[in-house]
Amino acid sequence: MNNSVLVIGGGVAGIQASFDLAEMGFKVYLVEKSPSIGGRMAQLDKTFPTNDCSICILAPKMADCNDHPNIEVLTYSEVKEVTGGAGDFKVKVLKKARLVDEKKCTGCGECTEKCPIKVPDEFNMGLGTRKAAYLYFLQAIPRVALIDQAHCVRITRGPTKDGKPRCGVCLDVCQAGAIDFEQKDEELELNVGAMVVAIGFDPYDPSPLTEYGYGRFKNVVTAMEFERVICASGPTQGHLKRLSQDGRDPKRIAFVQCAGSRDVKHNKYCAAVCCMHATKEAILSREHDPEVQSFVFYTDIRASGKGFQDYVARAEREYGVTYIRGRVSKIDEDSDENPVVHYTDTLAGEVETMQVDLVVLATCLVPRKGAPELARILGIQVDENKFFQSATFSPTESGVPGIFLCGYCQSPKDIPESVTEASAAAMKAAELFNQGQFP
Amino acid sequence: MRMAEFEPRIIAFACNWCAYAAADIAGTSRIHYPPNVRVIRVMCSGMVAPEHISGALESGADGVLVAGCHPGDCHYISGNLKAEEKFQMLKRVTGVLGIEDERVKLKWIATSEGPIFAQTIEEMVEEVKKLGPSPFKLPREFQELEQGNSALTLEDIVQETGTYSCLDCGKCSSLCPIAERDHAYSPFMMVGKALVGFGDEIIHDKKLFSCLGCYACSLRCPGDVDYPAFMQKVRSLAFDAGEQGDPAHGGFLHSVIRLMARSPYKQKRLEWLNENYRTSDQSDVLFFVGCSPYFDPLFKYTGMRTLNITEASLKILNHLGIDPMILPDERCCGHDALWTGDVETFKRLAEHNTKLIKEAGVKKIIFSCPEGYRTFKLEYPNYGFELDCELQHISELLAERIEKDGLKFKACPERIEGTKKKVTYQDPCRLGRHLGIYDAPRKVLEAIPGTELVEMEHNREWSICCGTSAFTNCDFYSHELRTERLLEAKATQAETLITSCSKCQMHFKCAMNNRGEEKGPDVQIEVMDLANLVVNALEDESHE
Repeated sequence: MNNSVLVIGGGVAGIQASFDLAEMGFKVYLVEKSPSIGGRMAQLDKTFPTNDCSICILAPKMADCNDHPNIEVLTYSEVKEVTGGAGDFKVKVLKKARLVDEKKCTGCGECTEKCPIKVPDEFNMGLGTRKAAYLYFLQAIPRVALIDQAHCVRITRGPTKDGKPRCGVCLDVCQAGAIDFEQKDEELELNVGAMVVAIGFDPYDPSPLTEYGYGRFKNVVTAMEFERVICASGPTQGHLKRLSQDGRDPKRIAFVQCAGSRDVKHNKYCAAVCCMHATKEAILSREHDPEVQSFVFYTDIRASGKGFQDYVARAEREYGVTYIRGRVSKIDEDSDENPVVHYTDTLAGEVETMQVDLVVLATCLVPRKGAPELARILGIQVDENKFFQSATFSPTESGVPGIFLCGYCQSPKDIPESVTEASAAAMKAAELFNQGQFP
Repeated sequence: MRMAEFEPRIIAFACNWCAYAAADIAGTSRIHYPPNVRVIRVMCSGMVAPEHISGALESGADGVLVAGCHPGDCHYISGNLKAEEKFQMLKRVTGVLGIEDERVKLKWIATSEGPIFAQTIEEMVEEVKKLGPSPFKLPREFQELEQGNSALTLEDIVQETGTYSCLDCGKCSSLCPIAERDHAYSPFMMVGKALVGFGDEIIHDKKLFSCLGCYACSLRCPGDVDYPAFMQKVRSLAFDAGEQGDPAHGGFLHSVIRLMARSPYKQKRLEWLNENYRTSDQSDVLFFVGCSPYFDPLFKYTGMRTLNITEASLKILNHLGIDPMILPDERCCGHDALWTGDVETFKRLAEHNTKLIKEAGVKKIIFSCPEGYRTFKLEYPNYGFELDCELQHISELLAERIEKDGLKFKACPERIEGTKKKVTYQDPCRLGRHLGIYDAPRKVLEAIPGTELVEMEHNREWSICCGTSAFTNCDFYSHELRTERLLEAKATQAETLITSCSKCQMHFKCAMNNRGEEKGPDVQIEVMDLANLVVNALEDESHE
C-alpha cells in the first residue's frame, strides 16, 4: 500500500484536504481542471459574515499548498480513467498542454499584454475580456501563463499562404523563452491509495426563468457576475456600475432570491448560501456607494451559521438593507432599461411593483457539468440532483472504499462547512493507511 | 301523472302599471280564469331579463308569461321595447333548446284589458295542458339531492391539487392578471385561507369567483400548487353552499346550460347546416359543434356570430377531405358548469355526450373550441368518462397537414400586390397554458401567403387572458384587462387580432362595444378567428 492520495478539485476544500493530508506525511497529488487552483472562492470579492477579502485569505493557502514539499499541484489537468481499488488505485491523468514551459515561465505577464486576440473572460463570468495567451487570474497559482488553443490564431488559422506560422508575438516578447508551441498533452499515471473529490459547483444559468428576463435585460445579472463587478480585480475594477449602455451607478438594487432554487420546475433544493451572499452583496453595495438602497426579496432568510443572524441584523440596522418577504414574480423593463420588479409583499398582503436600477439574481448553485462523467470514471453514484451520493451519517464516504467526498459537490454548503468537511475527508482517507507508518 | 289531472303552473311577470293592474281589474270584475297562474309584479316588463324566464323554467314552471304595457304606453317610455328585445333573444335560445313555443309567451295588456288578461291565461293554461308538464320539473324529493354536488372536503382538495406545497412566497400573485389589478384578490391569499383553516371563509368569499383559471400562476409556482384546479374544486363546495359569485349576464348562460343538461327536447342546433357543407353519418371523425348555436342570439349586438367559426371550420374540414359526422343532439361540453362549481350539471352533460359519441363509434373528434377540447381531454377522464378517441384542435390538424402533406394556401384576394396583412395572435388560455399548444396556430398563420404575424408583447405562455372565463367574472377588472390587451394588440400595428377561441373573440368584441360605465380608452381592431382567416385562404377545389 502506497501512501499517496489524489485530491480532485483545487478549490478551498481541495486545498484544505491537501494540506491536512500533506501535514500528516502523505504525498498528495492535487489535480485541478482549470489553469489555477483557487476555485469559486477566488472569484468572490468578500466572504460572509466577516467581510474578509476572499482572495486575501485564500491566496496564502494557495501559495503554501503549491510550496508544500508533499503536495504536487497538477493544474490544467483532468482525471480520465481509474482502475484498481482502495490502497492501490491506478489513475490516468491528462495534463493538457499550456504551450508554456512551467519551469521557465516567470509569470511576468508580457505575453498576456502583447497578445492581439481578445476572448470573453471565464473567470469574470464572461464580463470583460482576456487574451488568448493569458494568466487565469491575477493571483493564479501556479503563476504560469497558458495559451488558449481554441482561440490562438497561430493554431486556429494555421500557417499563412506563404507557409509561415502566424502571429508569434508571445514568442517574441517572452524573455524567459517559455513559449513552446510544440508542447503536447501529457498522460500521467498516478498510483494512489485513496482519493478525495472536491470539485465544487457551477452557478445555475437562469435563462429558463424567462419571467426574470436574464439575457433579455442588460440590468438583470447573476450574483456571481455581481461579485466580479464589485471585486477590485474584476472587469470594472470594482466600480459598482450597470452593464447597460448608460453604465451609470445603480442606486436601487433588487436582490432576487431563490432564482431557480426551491422550485419544482428548476431545482428543488435550497442552495444554502444565497441568503447570506445576498446580504453580503447588499452590505458591500452600500459600502461602495452610501446612496445605494438595497432590497432583498426572499422566500425565507436562512442564516444558520455562526454570526450569520447578527450579520443579517446588521445589514438591516446599519446598512439600511430592506428585506421583503415575497418571491419575485416577474421582471419587466422600462424605457430606460431599468428593471421593474413585480412581487407580492406577503407580510403586508400587497401586490406591488418596484422600479430599480439593477437586479441581482441569487441563482441556484448546481453540481459541475462534468460531475456525472467523473462519477462514472470513479464508479461512484450521483443523486437525482447530480450531487455525489453519500451515506446520511457519513457524508464524506462515497460508498466506494477509498474515495471520499467533501464540499459543495457532495451537497450545498458554505466555505466554513466545506473546509471542515475537507479535513474530515482527509482524515477518513488517512484512516485507510497503516497508523504511524510515515516515510 | 295522468294528463287529465295535470294542472300547469304558469309564472306571469306582470308590469305594475298595466298588466298587473289588468289582472287586478280581472279580479275585481269577478272574471273567472284558471287559478294556475302565479303573478309576479315587476315595475316594468323591461326588467324581466332572460335569466328570470329561464330561471322560472328551471324551477319547474310549465309556462312563463311576460306581460307589459302596449308599445307607446310604457310608464318608463321604452321599457317594454327592451322587454321585447330581451324576450326575442330568449325565444331564439329556447328555440334552439327545442322548448315548445307555447310555454313561453309575451303579451301586451293594458290596464283596462282585464278580460284580455283572463283570456290570455285561460288560453295559455289550455295550450300548456296539452303539452304536458315541464320536463324540467324535479320531484320534491330529488330537489335536495341537486345540492349534493361535491364529494370532496376542503382537506381532500388541498391534497389532490398540491395546494399543501404552497411556499407562501407570493410569486403567483404578481403573475395573476386579476391580482395585479384587484388588490383585494390574490391566489396566495386564497390558498392561505384554505390552509390555515379558514375553510368556511373561503367558500363564502366572493373573490373565489375572481379567478380566470388562466394558469399564469401555476406555470411559475415553485411549489406544486395547481391553483386553477384548487379553485375549481373549492367552487364546487361553494356551489353546494349556495354561492354562485356574480355571474355575467345575470347567470343566463349558466341557466341555459343547466336546462340543456336536463332537457329531453330535440335541439334545433343544426339550422345553419346546408348543402354547402358535407357531413357523413359513416365518418369516423366527429366535428364537435358544442354550444356555438346558443350564443348568437345573445351576442348579436357585438357583431359576433359564433357560428361563423363553426361554419368556417366545417368548410376547412371538407376542404381537407374530411366529411365529418355532426351529432344533432350533442350538448355543451360542460366547461362553464365545471368551472363554476356545478359538478352535477357537468356530469350530466359529460355522460350524455360520452354515450352519444360512443354509440356513434367515431375514432377522432375535432374541436374548433379550445374550451370544449380541453374539457374533453383533461376533465372527462377525471370523472370517469372515457372516450378512446383521438382529440384534436382544428389548428393542430391544419399544422399537421401543412407539415406532413404540404398543405398550401392562397393569399387573400383583396390584397394589393406586395403588401402583407399584419396580424397578431391571442393565445387562448385553454389552448395555450392549459394544453401547451402554441406552435400549431402559428404554423398555420405563417403558412398563409401575404400574412405577417407580429407578436404582442405578451405572447405564448405569457399571453394575457381575455378577462372573463366561464361567464363568471365580468367586472371592472376584466374590462380593464381586456382593454389593455386590445391596446397591446393595437401596438403591434396589426390590422387584425386573430384568436382561436370563440370566447376570447366574444369578450374582445364586447369590450369594443364599450358597454357599461367604464369608459376606458376606445380601442377598435378587427377580431377574427383563425378558422375564418384560413377559410378565406383555402385554395380553390379545382386545384386539387
